Formats: sequence, C-alpha cells, structure tokens
Amino acid sequence: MDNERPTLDSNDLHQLRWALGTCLAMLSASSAFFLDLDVVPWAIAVLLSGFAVFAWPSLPGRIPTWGHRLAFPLISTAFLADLYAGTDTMTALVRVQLLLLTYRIITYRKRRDDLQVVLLSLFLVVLTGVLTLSLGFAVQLFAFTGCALALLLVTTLADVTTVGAAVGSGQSESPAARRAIPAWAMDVRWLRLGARLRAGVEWRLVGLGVGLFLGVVAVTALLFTAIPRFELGRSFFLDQLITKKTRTGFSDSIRFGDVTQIQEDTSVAFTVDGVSPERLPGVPYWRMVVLDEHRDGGFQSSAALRSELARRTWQRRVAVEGGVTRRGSESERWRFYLEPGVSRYLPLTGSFRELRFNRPMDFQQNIPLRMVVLASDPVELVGFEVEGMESAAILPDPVQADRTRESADVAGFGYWQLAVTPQERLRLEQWVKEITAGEELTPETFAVRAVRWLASRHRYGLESELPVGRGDAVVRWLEGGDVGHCELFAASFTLLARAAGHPARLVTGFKGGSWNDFSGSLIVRNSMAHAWCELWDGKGAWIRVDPTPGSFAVGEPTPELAAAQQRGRIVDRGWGARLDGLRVFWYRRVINFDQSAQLELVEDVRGGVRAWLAQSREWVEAVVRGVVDWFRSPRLAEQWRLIFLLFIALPLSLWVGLRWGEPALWWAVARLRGRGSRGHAAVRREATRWLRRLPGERSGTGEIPRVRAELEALRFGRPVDRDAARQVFVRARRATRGERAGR
Amino acid sequence: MSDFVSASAIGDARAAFGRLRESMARTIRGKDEVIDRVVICLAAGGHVLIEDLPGVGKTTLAYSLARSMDCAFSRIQFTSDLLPSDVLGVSIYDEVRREFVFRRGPVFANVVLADEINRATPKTQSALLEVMDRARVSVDGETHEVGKPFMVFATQNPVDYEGTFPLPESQMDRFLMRIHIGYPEPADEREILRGGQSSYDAIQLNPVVLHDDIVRLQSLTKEVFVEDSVLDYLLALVVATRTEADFKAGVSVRGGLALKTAAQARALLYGRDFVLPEDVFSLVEPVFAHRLSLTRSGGDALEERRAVAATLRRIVAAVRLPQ
Repeated sequence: MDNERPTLDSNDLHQLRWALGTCLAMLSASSAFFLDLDVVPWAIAVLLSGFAVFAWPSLPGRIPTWGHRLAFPLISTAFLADLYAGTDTMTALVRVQLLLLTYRIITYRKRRDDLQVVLLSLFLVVLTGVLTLSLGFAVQLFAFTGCALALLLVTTLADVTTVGAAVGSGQSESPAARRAIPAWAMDVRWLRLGARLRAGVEWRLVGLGVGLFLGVVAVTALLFTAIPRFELGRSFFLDQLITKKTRTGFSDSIRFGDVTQIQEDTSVAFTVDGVSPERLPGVPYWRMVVLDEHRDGGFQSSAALRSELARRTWQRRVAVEGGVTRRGSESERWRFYLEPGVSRYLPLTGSFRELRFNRPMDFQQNIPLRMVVLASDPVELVGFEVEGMESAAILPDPVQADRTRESADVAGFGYWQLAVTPQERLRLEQWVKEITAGEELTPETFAVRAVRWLASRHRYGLESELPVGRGDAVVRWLEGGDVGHCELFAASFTLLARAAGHPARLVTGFKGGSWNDFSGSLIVRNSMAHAWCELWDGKGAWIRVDPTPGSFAVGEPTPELAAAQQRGRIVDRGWGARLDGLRVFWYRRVINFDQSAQLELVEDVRGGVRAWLAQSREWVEAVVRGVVDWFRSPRLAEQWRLIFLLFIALPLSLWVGLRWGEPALWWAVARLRGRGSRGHAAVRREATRWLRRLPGERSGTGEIPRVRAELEALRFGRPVDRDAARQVFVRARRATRGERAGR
Repeated sequence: MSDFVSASAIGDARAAFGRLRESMARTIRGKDEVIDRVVICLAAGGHVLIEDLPGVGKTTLAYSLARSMDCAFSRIQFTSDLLPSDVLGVSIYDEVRREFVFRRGPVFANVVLADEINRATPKTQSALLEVMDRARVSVDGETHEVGKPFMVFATQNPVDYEGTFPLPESQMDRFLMRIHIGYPEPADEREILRGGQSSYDAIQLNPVVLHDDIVRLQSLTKEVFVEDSVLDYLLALVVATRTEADFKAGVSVRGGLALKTAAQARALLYGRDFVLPEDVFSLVEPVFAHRLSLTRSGGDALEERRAVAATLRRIVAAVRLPQ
C-alpha cells in the first residue's frame, strides 16, 4: 500500500481555489465597513453570499440561467442609476465593485473570474487604505496579500492538474454553462478538504513559504518606515471622486438647530500628538472658524474677513513672521492628525510660530485671526505639525487695534454689527441695561455679568427650544427660550456685547479632549464640538468668553482653576483607548513631516538593540557570578541533594519523559477524546499518523519495514491490546529517530 | 497476530505458498506475478481465465500448478462439436448390472484445463456453469461432487475469433480473474530455449503441497480480517464502476465478493492476517476487467479490452486509498 503523503487531486485543488477566492472577496468586502460611504448593505450582501456558498456549495448550481443572463445588465444598470441619482462617483464605484463580487461569489468561478476577484478585491482594499489610512488597512493588506498569493498558486496548480481543458479554464462563457455544476463541485465537503489538506500538504514547505512571505513583509515594513512616502491617494485622484460631508457642520456660517446628532458622535475628530500634558491647558479651546457677521438670523464669516484669508497654493508651511514664542517651550511641536470629514478648518489653540503639512496643500491663511483653511473638505487624513503653539485666552490683534468702528464698517467687518429690527435692538439694549445696571463697565466686567445674566435666565441643553415667531432667532430665544446649546449662548452673548458697544465675534471649534495614556496623545472627539465668543478688550486683544453654562470662562482661568482643570482632565484607559493608541502609533508611522522620523526610528532601533545586548550581558554576568559564588559557598556540602537533583534526577526525568512521554501523551489525548477509550479508532488514527511519518523503504528486513508492518497491522488488522499498540508506537518513534539520525 | 488466525497457521500458509510458487517458477520462468495471481485464485477458490496468444505457456501454467499439488489434473480441448456430456460425463446402461451408471467426464478432477473454451458452442460452455459455481455436476437428477479443491483453468485466444463463440457475461462473471501471461523476457526465453522442453507432458514436478493443505489454505483465506475502511474502499471501487458512463453495466455483487476474497488470499500469500488497501488496489484490474464491457463497443476485441483497462485504471486512480 502506498502510505506516502496523499496527493491533492484536481477536485481538491479546485475546491480550495473556490474557497480561497470566496475568502478573498469577503475579506475585501469587509474593508468597506471602514469606509465612511453608504455601502454597508452591499458589503453585507457579499459577506452573506460568502457564508451561503460555504454552507451550501451547491447553491450556484441552483441559480437559473436567466439569472446569469441578467446579472451584468442589472449590475450595469444599478451603477448608471446610482450615478444618475447623484450618488458620489466613489460610492457608486464601490457599490458596483461589491455587486460584482457578490455575483462572482455565487457562481462557479473559472480562472479568469478568479483573477477578476483578485483585482476587484485589490481595488477595494487599496481604496480603503488610501481613504482611511487606518491600521486595519495594514492588517487587511497583509491578509489580502497572503490570501491572493495562495489563490493564484492554487489556481495555477488546479489548471495544471486538470485533465482536459474544459474544467476550470473558462472556455465556455454561456449562461447555461455557468449554471452547470463542474465535476469538482459535485461533492464539496469542507471538513474533508481540510483533513486532506492537513494530511496532504508538505507543512515544512508551507512553513518555508510563510517564512519567506513574512520576511518580505518585514523588509517591506522596514523600507516603508525608512523611505519617504509615496502618495498613493494623490496618484489615483481619489479626492476628486468623493464629496465629504462634515458631521460637525463646521463651515463659515451657522444656523441654530438641533445639535444632538453631533453630541452623540463620539468618533475621533482629531488627535494631537507630541504635546506634554503638563503644558497643555486643562480645557483647551481649539479654534477653527471665526464668524463675525450677523445676518439672516445666523452668523457667518463676513466677506471682508474672508477676503483677508491669503491664498496659498501647493505649499507645505505657514510661517508667522517674527513668530510668537510659547513661554518656556520654544521647541514644542504638536502634531495633529485631523480625521477625514471633520472640517477644512484646522483646529488651533491660538498663536503659533510655524505650521507645516506633511505634503504640499492648497489652503488659505489669516494670521491675525489664527485661522488656516484648506481649499476643500479633506477626504483623507490630514497631518500637520505646529511649532510654538499658544493656548492663551487672550489673543493679541494689532490689526484690529488700528481699526476704528467706521473703518471696520466700511471694510465690511461685522464686529459691531447687529442685523436686527429697531424693536429687537431696543429689547437688546434693555437687557444690556439689566446686565450693567446702568454702569459703565469694562469689557471683562461686562462679560462676567452678561454670562451670569444668561445663566440665570436659560438652561443648557442639546435640544434647543427656539420660540416660534418672526424676527431674529437669537433675540427670540433670549426673549422666551429656556433651553439652549452652546451656539445659542455664544450668539446671545455676542449680540448683547455688541448692543453694549463692545466688538465681539463668534468662534466655533472644539473644547477639551481626553488624554490617552497608551499613546501619550490628546484625543478630541466630534462630540466635543463647541461654540464660544471672543470679546475685544479695547486695548489690542480678543478675550475668550465662554458663556455656556458649565463652561463659564472669561479670559484666562485663575491658577487654581487651571490646576484643577488639569487634574480633572479625562484620561482614557479602556480597550477603546488601546485601539486609539494603536491608531496614533500607526499615524506616527504613516504621516511623515520630514526625515527626522526615519532617523528617530533608526536611532531607536539601534539604541534598543544596544540596550538589549547590554542587559543580556549583565544578566549572563550576574548568573555566572551567582553560580561561582554558590560553588564557593561553605554550605556546598549541604547542598548535595540539590546537585543530585540538578545533575542526575533532572536529566534522568527528562530522558524518561522524552523516551516515554510521547506515546503517553498520545494515549492521554486518545482517552480524552473518548473514542479511543471505547474502541480501536484512536489506535488506528495514531497508526495512520505514524505510517505517514515513517520514512524509508517498504520491504526488506530492516527495522523500518518491520515497524511498518506492525503499524499496518494496527491500522488495518484486528483490534489489539492497547499496551501492545503503545509498544509499537514506541518502536516507531525510535525507528523514525534512528532513520533521521542515520541520514 | 490476532487470536483468530494463529501465527503458526499464517506461517504454515506462507510456507506452503512459498513452496508452490517456487515449484511453479521452475517451469514458468520470469512470470512471478502471473504465478502469484494463479496461487491467489487457488487460495480464494476461484477459477482463472487465461487470455493470451497460443504458445505462451497457458497449458504449462495449469499443468505445473496441478503437478505441484497432489491433485488430479485433466485437460479438455474445446471444439465446436464438443458436447456437454463430453465434459461432464454421461450415464450409460450397464448390461451386467442392468442399470444406468454414470461415467464421469474429464471435469471430475481438481485442476481442469478448459483449453480454448470459446471454440465450444454456448451449450457446452453453459455445461460448465454449475460445476464452476458449485463444484458439482447434476446429471439425470443425480448430483456428483467433482472434488475439492476444484479449479478451472480456461484459456482463449483474443486474436483469432474465426469460428468461436464468445463467452456469455454470466460465465465470465464466474471466473475470479482474467490474466495475461505475455511473452517472457529475453533472458528468461533464452533459458527456456536452452532447456529444450517442448511438451508439458515432459514436465517433471513433485507435489510440494498436499491436497489437505490446499483445503486448509482456502478455509484460512476466509478468516483473513478486512477492516471497515478497506471494505469501504472496495465498495467505492465497485460503485464507481456502476456510475461510470463508459461501462455498459458495473461490477456485480459477485464481482465485489470476488475482489474481497482475492484480496484476502493475497494478504495470506504475503503472510498477513489482515487485508491492506494495497491488496485490493493491485487486484482490481484482473478481477474486474473481464466483468465489464464498454457502452460504445468497437469491433476490435483487443482494443476494447485496452479501453476497459484504461477506464478502470482511471476510476481506481480517482478513488482515494484509506490512510
């Protein structure tokens, strides 16, 4: 009998090819879940199809011929309908990809179809990677590459071993032929296939292949971290195919609606890396948009303000002439990773010396306003680095200091502007009188009193209650509203300040952030979106005023309050934080500002290796010293028992264990499995295993043929005594080792 | 070894087989595999159809087997005018005893050589049916045992079909194996030529196995153990011939049993009390090939046999051996 390793036949290879192709399609479809596109039902369809064909391999044969006839016309129609309905080109493309994958899964694929699956899957995985830059992409690409390589290998093998060209080579393309069940699909049993694979595959060869693959991956990873990035996304013009809607609604105008949806969105908006927690304010305010013009019941950036935004094309850096210096931390660089779809306005806490992107960008900048705006909403992660960032609540503005009210009005700035009816203006002035009690107040004092006055009349809530009526929404709310969110409080304060004669503006952005202990970075989430005001102090600076209840702040907090805020900072330590930490680690690797990161990495690796070597040397020296001291110890004579244990009993038990352990282990496993204790099946299984492992000749008078005959008797003969079987296995092990040693 | 077949019995059987093979190899040179198959047929209690060209040693093979045992041998030359009574025997009236007395035909022997069996008419061929199946002859309502062991060696020429009557399928099914002897290797043929022995009558062989030993071997063969997975493998082969579109009909139940018994005999021949898948695998073609015919039969019998063998090999290759 041929006891050699079983050879996988053509049917096995075709079944394996089919399984691998389906796995590949499912793997790539799962990447669609990472995309922020409306494609989830399509991806679920691919996954369900995959599970269905695994559960019922005969399913593709049951699809009627007309189903195959209509498949491609329907998919094409769906794609065109998507485009016609105004869906994003990218979304439509991904949907059509997923539909094609679904169809490919539920058919018996030929070679050409498999190659199509590989290409479709590659497109999806790369697309996900480029758009998300997530760590999941790296994992998926890793799995994809392995799976695709295996699929291509098996496809080639299956075609080589197929007798007759009709099977698997794809000559017949008619729908009826697609419905026909190929010979290899007649009897698909995955467990059997798995067992045959386990038995038939040369695992040493597979191990070698996997090792080579991992080696290539390691070298690629090394190159990836050591050489400058290649902007794949730019090469594909992916950003032109997608229009990203910002969830937080950051734009150059605001309307006062419900913000519940924003507050419930706890996904990460941006991450700040490279910042030391003790220098970061307890509650940082991330300014993004400055809105000065009060118009049509809302606030917006005035045309004058927007015209001050200087356009920069394809540049990497924003430098402030004679830039500001952060007190005591000149060299601190904060790295921002702004998630796609958050905003085109960059979050900044105040003045800075220099801002650099990881690649040339189109953007606009306004240094006095401390605003940097990208040309369009980014569809991919934006990385930028800010040096010398300040987080002061006082924002100097020399340009505004030189500006009079008249000149500002003429220029079109809206710092004093109140777009209300005379009656509403009268009402505002009455409220201002209530706040000031007729006194002449400094802007700071006014701010404190106005904030308190607002809090005494209104409550904070996400579902704002705007009284029904005509006229300005904010005045209506001030008049009769009860609950309001940050935008309403900020807008109200701005109107009141302007009515009192103080220039004021609305600022939107984010407030706060949670500290991630694992990555050492600050995570700011979409739910932390906030609106506040900036009040002109009449001297040359804007004072930050946050009138929202719970955040009362006018100017810089007192040192005690600042310390309390720092202590009270939220720290993430859960599993979610670990994932966020991983994400930051990944960003650090893929977002590159200059060559320093590579140098840092190389230095880290070199330093790490040196440290490890030094530690190892110390450990060895310590052990040697310990042994030498022990031998010199006067109590050596008392420790003979230990010596006996170490040098005689331990080796002896090891030898016994190796000599008898393996069959005993097998026996224990056989008993645990249950079948072995009841019948002879375990003995037969074990005999089969040893017959496969037994090397050398089949006939003759040597040890190997004799053991082989005994094993064959165990495998195919009558049930025998278990102890006798165990003896045979012991001899088989000895013979195998002897043969290997002989070689 | 197991308690069911003692080690000594296995040893005795192996020794007897060894003597038999050695004795036959003296006259049939370079045909060890053919000898093995004949011996397997003997141990399995089956009959052999030797299909080959004239003059390759068909008769010598049968004669040397018979002479190696202390068994009776007879030869029947089948011709178109041969009658069933010429084979089986006839009842004639005895004047002295005043009754019909049965005069035994040449089939009453332990080893019967039915030479050129396809030259006889179907009627005469059918006369062999019962005796091959049950080892007894029924004439005029009386049953006569032909002897034990009983083995028929039938020969036929696959090329010369002029004036012949092909064996019916029912009769083909009663042969355990169909074997081909083929021309010897040049070195062996040189030895044959040097010996100058032309007639099988001149073969001088002494019995090396006794009549009772053969009976014991045949009974021992039935006790050889066949494990379930091997039995499943055998069954899969049988089923595969039945589902193969190229074959007119698959192998019968008798065919399956024949393969099992042959495999048991082969195991015994190699000194085992259990059957290996290899035993089954190596005997599929000689046991099954003559029981199968093609759906689209061509005119040339040799071509058809080759096609049947090729299809059978394909089927066997597709069925997985138990591990």
